[in-house]
Amino acid sequence: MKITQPPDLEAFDKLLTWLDPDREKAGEKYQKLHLRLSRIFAAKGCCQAEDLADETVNVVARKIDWLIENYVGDPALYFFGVAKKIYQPPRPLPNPPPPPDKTEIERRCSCLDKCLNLVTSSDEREVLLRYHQKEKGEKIRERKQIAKELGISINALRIRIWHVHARLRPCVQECVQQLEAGNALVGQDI
Amino acid sequence: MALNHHDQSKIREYLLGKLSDEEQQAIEERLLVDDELFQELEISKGELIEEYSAGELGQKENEWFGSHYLASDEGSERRLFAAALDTVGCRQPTPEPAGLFARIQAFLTRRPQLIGLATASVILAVGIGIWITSTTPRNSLAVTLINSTLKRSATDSQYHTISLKPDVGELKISLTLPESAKNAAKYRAELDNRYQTKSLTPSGFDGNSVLVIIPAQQVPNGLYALTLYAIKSDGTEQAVPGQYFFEIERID
Repeated sequence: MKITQPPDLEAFDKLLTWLDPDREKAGEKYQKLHLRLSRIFAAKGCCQAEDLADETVNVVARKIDWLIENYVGDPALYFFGVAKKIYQPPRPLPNPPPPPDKTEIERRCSCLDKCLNLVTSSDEREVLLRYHQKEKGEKIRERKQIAKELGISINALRIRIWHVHARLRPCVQECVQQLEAGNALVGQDI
Repeated sequence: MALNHHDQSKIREYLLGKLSDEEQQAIEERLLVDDELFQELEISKGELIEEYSAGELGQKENEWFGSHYLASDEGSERRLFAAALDTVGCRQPTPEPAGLFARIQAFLTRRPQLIGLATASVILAVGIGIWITSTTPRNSLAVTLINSTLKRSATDSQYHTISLKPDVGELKISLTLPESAKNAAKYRAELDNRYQTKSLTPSGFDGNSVLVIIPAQQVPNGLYALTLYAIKSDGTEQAVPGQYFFEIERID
């Protein structure tokens, strides 16, 4: 991957203003764009999706003076055009990954237990655990039943569960990082 | 912009590599500006991971998803998260739908004069409960499982469903031995809940079967596989071909 020099403070400032004159809104728009670019790169199978999103921003930032003068339209679409040029299909295709390591799963399970108590209410926990409890056909029936009990559509239930996931994932990730840092310290010679 | 069913299937097809270049580009452009579509992408990723892990995707879909999204750092992290959720979900008892205790508590809060009477009733009920529990024998449920290599046809259900009533304290599982494994000096079993394995020492065996006893509390609802190992007199052990599959389902 080609690496473009990150923008200096002035260029980055101009980039934010180009996204939105309101500083706070500009920050939000920037974060949203970066996240979405990185998720699109990931969906296409790019290992270093975040780096590619960074590179997209760097390339756009280098042209910021020209863009402010000449570009008409939604900045997001310009970012997309740059991302398309940066993207290289992975060749050869990587092999499908092996099943997740049991130790890794266990580590996340213990973090998940903690995070469930930290970032979800007891009602949310109950629904979430029921949502993930059953197998195959039974799972579909159970989800329909939960939606019926809550008086919402299956789609509304999917979205509700996704919001809980979106709170849980960063918590679990942070907890795993702490566990790993702890293990690394234990493994060090003193 | 409100999503429709068409958008949901398009996102799914996008993640499974089924869109033409033009369709793919159109979806990606929308993903950058359409919050609901982006949310749908995130939800669909989670659902496809579930299907991938359960072996429910077609071969081509499986290969594409495995070599694209799941090959990314984000995909592999999401897969671990999904596996952890599945594990935690399976080992939790199903919560009671109605909050009876909460309702009783609310009722008593509104009527403080009844608290003394309620406390006395609870003490009496607990005492009776302890007496009944200590005098009631622990129920066993006996089940015979046939090795997967001994099944008559591929159409036989792989998982034998074991329905557990609340009063069952232990499972006595008799594992039918295939011919090739009948003359071992002893046996060892391994219980696999798809995430962990646990070694079990059989309670006994004869020429045709091996008996393992598993406390009911150690098997929450879910799918299990038992693997038997035949141990020769010199101490070497060999896995008995095939497995014994069962599903635990609790009933009232």
